[in-house]
Amino acid sequence: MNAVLKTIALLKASGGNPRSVIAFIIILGSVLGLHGCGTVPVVSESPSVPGEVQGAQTAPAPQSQTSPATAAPTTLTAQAQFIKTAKAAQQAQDWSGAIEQAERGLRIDRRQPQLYLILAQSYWQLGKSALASQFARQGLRYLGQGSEVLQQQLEQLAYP
Amino acid sequence: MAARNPSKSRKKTTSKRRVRKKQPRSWRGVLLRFLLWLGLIVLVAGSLYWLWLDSQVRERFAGAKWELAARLYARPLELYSGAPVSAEMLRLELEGLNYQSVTKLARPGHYVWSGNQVEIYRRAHQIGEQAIAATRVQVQFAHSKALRIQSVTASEAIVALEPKEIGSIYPASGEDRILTRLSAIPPLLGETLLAVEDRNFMHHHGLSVKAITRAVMANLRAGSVVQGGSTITQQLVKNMYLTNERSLVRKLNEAAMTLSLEWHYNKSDILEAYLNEVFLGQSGSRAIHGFALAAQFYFNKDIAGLKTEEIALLVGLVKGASYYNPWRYPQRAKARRDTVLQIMRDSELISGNQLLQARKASLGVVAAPSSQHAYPAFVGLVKRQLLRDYPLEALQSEGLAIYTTLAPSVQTLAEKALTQRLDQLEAQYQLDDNSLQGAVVVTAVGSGEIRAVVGDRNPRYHGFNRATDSQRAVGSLIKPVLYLTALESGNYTLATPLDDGPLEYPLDNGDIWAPTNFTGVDHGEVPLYVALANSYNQAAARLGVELGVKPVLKQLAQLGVNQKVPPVPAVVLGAVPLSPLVVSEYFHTLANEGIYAPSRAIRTVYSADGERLHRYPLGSREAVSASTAYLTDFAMQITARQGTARHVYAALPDSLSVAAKTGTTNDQRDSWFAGYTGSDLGVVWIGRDDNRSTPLTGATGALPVWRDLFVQLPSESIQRIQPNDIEFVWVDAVSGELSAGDCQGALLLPFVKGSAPVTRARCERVKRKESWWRRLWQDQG
Repeated sequence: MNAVLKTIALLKASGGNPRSVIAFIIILGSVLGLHGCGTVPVVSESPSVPGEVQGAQTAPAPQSQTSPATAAPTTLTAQAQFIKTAKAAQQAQDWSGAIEQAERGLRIDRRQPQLYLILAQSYWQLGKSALASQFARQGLRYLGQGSEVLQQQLEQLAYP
Repeated sequence: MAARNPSKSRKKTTSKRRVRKKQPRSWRGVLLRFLLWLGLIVLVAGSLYWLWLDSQVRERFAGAKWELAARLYARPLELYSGAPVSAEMLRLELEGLNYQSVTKLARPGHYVWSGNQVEIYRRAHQIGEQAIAATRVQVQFAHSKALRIQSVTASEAIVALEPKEIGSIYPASGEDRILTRLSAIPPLLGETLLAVEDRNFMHHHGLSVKAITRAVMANLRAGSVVQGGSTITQQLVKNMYLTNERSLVRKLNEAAMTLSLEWHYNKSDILEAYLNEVFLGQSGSRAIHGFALAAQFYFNKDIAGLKTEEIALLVGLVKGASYYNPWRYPQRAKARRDTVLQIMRDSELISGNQLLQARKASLGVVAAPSSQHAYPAFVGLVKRQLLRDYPLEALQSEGLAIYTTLAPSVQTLAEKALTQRLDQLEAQYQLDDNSLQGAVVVTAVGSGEIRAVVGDRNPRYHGFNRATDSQRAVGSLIKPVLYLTALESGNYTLATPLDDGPLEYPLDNGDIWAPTNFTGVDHGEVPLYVALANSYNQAAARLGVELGVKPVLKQLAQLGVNQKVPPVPAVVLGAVPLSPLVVSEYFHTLANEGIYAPSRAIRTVYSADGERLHRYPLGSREAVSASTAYLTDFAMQITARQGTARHVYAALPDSLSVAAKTGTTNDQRDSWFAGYTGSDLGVVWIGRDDNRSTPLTGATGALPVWRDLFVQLPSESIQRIQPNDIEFVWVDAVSGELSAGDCQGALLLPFVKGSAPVTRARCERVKRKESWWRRLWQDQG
């Protein structure tokens, strides 16, 4: 509404000549357009290319690259192995071994919340509660839309 | 019976004594007595001396015989499906481990490369107490230039190659050796050694009269010393306990100690000690002792893999490693080798055919001695970290095994990127050759493990390490910290307009601080993200004044910089002298979603017995809130896409998300670039040692080095998980005001919920543009 009032004021100031009328129409159109498109500005997803501007020609075009260094297909088998061995170490109450295995797993995928939970649990068992809490909070950062059980476990250690 | 007269009897005795006294002493008797006493004294003293020598022999032989160098190893390369390992990197790693490219996989240490597939016969090795067996592994790449392994076929999901030895910290004496058990010595080597040096070794008791007589005769015939009569035990005693002094006393000591050694120890113990003790070469201040180290030194091989002619050369070197130095005197060395081969044949250790084959073979030594100093910058950093936990004496003597984080292939790529680009820049800007210097640090994001360190344009140079020790103003590399401080305060968003007009700020000393933009152009009001992406100085200076220097420095400390910095206003524009390593420390916190994990160059330390002494674990401290880290990262990704760092995409694929920042200091003295992907952080510095100006900016100097490296480095795209309190809002790119997806010049920016701008910008409708990525996705879908 403020934008509309501003536009009317602009029209009055211009003296109402034909060029001003055309300008008025253009401005009114754009204001209405803005009014129409600006009602729901929040979007649910992040941009795929940060800083990509609508209507601009500056967005980078895809290049033909024979060796795209894109994200890896998740190396599930390798990672699963470390989760498995870390859990086995936990079962055997080998907390240091579990930490070591979890760290190896994180070298493959550093955002795996399950491995942060193992770190947090193991450090907790070793009496290092501050570090346990820190790793649990870090795991929560990577949780995304993960399982609720995992979230609860991490939260218990993150905020004891 | 008559009683004795005591006085008579006394008289008699007295007279007898007198008679004795009167007898003159014979000189012979005196001499005899003297000799007897002397003999007794000599015998007692000799016995005591022998006992002392005997105790010396036993004390050293039974205990730790030698001071053992600490050995440093690179990280083992892990192979698994999807592993970020390019074909080129795998080849570099295999070559570094001295694997042989063959057409048929026959034994450990071989690999067969065929098209996009490589089959490797991984060697058996030991890490700590864990023995790892030899195994075959097949690695498949999608194509020859692929940056990732497509699949791995092996008995395990992950197969790690043995870690490459990258250096050692050897004793102050300079003696270096790899201790080897007799059982690990190839029988042919042991038999050849005995055939050449001491045929009668198994039968004598340390001294061989036959050998001594033979030597004396030979020397008399020749008129000079041409042959020694020392047995292997004598040689061992001489090397282990005595000096090179030529005297009778030393000879006697040698004989006594030899007998003592033979008395107390069996032949196997003596031979094993000899094989580890014998001097076989010299490399600078480093003395090569023992056959195991010599095998590596001359042939870059494990002792078990030596060929006949190589064994012959090593045994031949026992006679005089300097005289028969195969690099300096190849003819002499070959003649000696062939002599040994003939002895092998005469002793029936090899067949006539083998003799012919071996004689035909070249010396086969590596082109140059394997350097223990191939990675001086990285090894220097490791030593520095080790010295916090271990005294130098322990590092030099206890045979520790130190497993580090170095990735040799990444190190090679980083070295190449720096050296080649510096040459090219000097040519391009017509600078004197070698006038520019540089440094590179590559860190694995998340673990904080340092993968590569280059401290000089000559990566083998042992002097000043610019990566760890230079202190250069960081220029605009400080700006992410400045803007992060603003965002963390809660009073700023990425769209907050900042004034990039001229600025004059009075200092405490009466001066006026008036920083200007690099281009000299004022930009008026710009959104915060634009000021960061384009590295506008005036906007940054004004923001710094508003925030205060101390909060910025406090934030820098939070991010991991434990260095005192004077709190002057120019700090906010980068008047902060730091090393590339310290810069990578705080950029790593940004790359790691605001979690500070200290940089590490060491993973584990093992004792000589394989016991784990120390592990350097992953650390974690929340330095920045998740939302602020997200916003800062986003702005730095825009910097890489559209800002001063955009030239990274001249070579990198658009699909790879990168966050980066350039840095240039006053008079262009320093050219900096710091950039990270989802998995790797690289920091590059270029400048001159005398601190004179250069024609380079961060974008024209350090950036191309970083790009040259990252274009070859398999790296993951940044994949941020959106924190719950972050929302994306369309804003106008120029004004930062509220906009919409179908408005000209609108872009999506992240905001902490509730902090998005409320003032609406004008909207000129355009057809909503879908990013190429989304289009591609939809096309495929």
